[in-house]
Amino acid sequence: MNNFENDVREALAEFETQPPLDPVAVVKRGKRIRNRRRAMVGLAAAAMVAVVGGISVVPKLGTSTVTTANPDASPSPTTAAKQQSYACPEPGVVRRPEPGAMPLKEHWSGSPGETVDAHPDGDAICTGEFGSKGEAVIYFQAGEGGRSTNMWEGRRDASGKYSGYFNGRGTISGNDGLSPGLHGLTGDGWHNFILGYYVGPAAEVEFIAQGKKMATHLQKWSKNPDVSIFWFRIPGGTDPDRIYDSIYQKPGDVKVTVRDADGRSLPVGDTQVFAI
Amino acid sequence: MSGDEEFTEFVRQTSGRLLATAYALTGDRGRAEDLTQIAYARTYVAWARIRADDAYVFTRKVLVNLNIDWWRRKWRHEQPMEIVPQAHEQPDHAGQVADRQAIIAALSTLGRRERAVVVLRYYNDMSEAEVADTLGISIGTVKSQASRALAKLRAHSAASSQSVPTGDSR
Repeated sequence: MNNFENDVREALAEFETQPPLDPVAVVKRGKRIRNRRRAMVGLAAAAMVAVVGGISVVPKLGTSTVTTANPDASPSPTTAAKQQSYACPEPGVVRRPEPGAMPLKEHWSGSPGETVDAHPDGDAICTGEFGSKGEAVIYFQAGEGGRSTNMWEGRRDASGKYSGYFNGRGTISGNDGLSPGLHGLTGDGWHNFILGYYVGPAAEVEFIAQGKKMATHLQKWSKNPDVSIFWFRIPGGTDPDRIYDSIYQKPGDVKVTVRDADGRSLPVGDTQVFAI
Repeated sequence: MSGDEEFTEFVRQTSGRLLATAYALTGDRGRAEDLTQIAYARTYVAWARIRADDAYVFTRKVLVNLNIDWWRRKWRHEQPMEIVPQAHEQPDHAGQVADRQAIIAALSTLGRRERAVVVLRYYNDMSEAEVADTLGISIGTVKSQASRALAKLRAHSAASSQSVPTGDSR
């Protein structure tokens, strides 16, 4: 170390340790940020669903059918934009996670009555991903007064009942929200999913985060075939903050490409991801 | 101890040190407090995820990157005002005090990332690899930015030191 480096070190030592911050004010500010990220917090705390199941279909149990969720026939972190069906089964059909699947992160407050009933407009998407309250579902639902349609994430429980807990940013109102491209990309408050929708004939949305290709999914909305629900699960080893928070993002962290069935590029639309 | 209690204790134990780093990064006490509070608030949000890891390293990383990326947006219309901390002046070492103050004043001539490299290397005593990880840049970039920053500091502090006794305002 040369003398000038020592001089710099000594000069900087003038910045003495300060009195500590008021932790109460910090916690209050932290809660504000957290609440902003969570449109709705709820669901009673419960033990994680045991990871069980067979390969594809398990024989009927009484009047219910139990299947193993396997919407993606060949799951791979580099697989993008599957076009197979993610339709949810009829009530009474119990689905279970695939063997070895990572459960969704859920930090429920434990307070009762904090979920809302779900009334999907069109078919809900059953994602094949499970948490403590069931399988994650994504769906559109009419907003108040029926003037808009909003995107939601929720859960389908073992009885086939849907509950909504997370209102995303994707909103269609008349022709608003129907321009070609991605819309309303939102990160849920638990770092589980990024969800939104695409307008146009997309066959693949390639979403690269921090150099890694996300396993993205597209499913046409049953109410409007021009609209596809888009989502992916944030994989382990990927910093979610660097996907949806410009504060943490570094140049090149997120790169989005959309292609049709012939591999032609399509407009990407709004690729900024927000966390609520 | 609950998560909130753990976090509160963590803030009590570490925020004085981090606030000083923020002060060294910004040269402005008010901004330093704001940045530090936001960095801890974001740590609070992530507490369940990072409490078992080195939470201080996480918070410092948030702070440093906030300062580089977000600080500019929030205060881009304001001219940062460098506040030189009060030195413990001793008559026998007046020259050294002036040199130190000249170096601190010269910090304002550095870019935000250059300044972060200098503060992390020479104030927080972090290795080049740790600085690279904190800032999300390569070790080579840390070396080059540190070298350039030291050269600037040397030039500006030398000019400043020479200007004082002669009264030269240039």
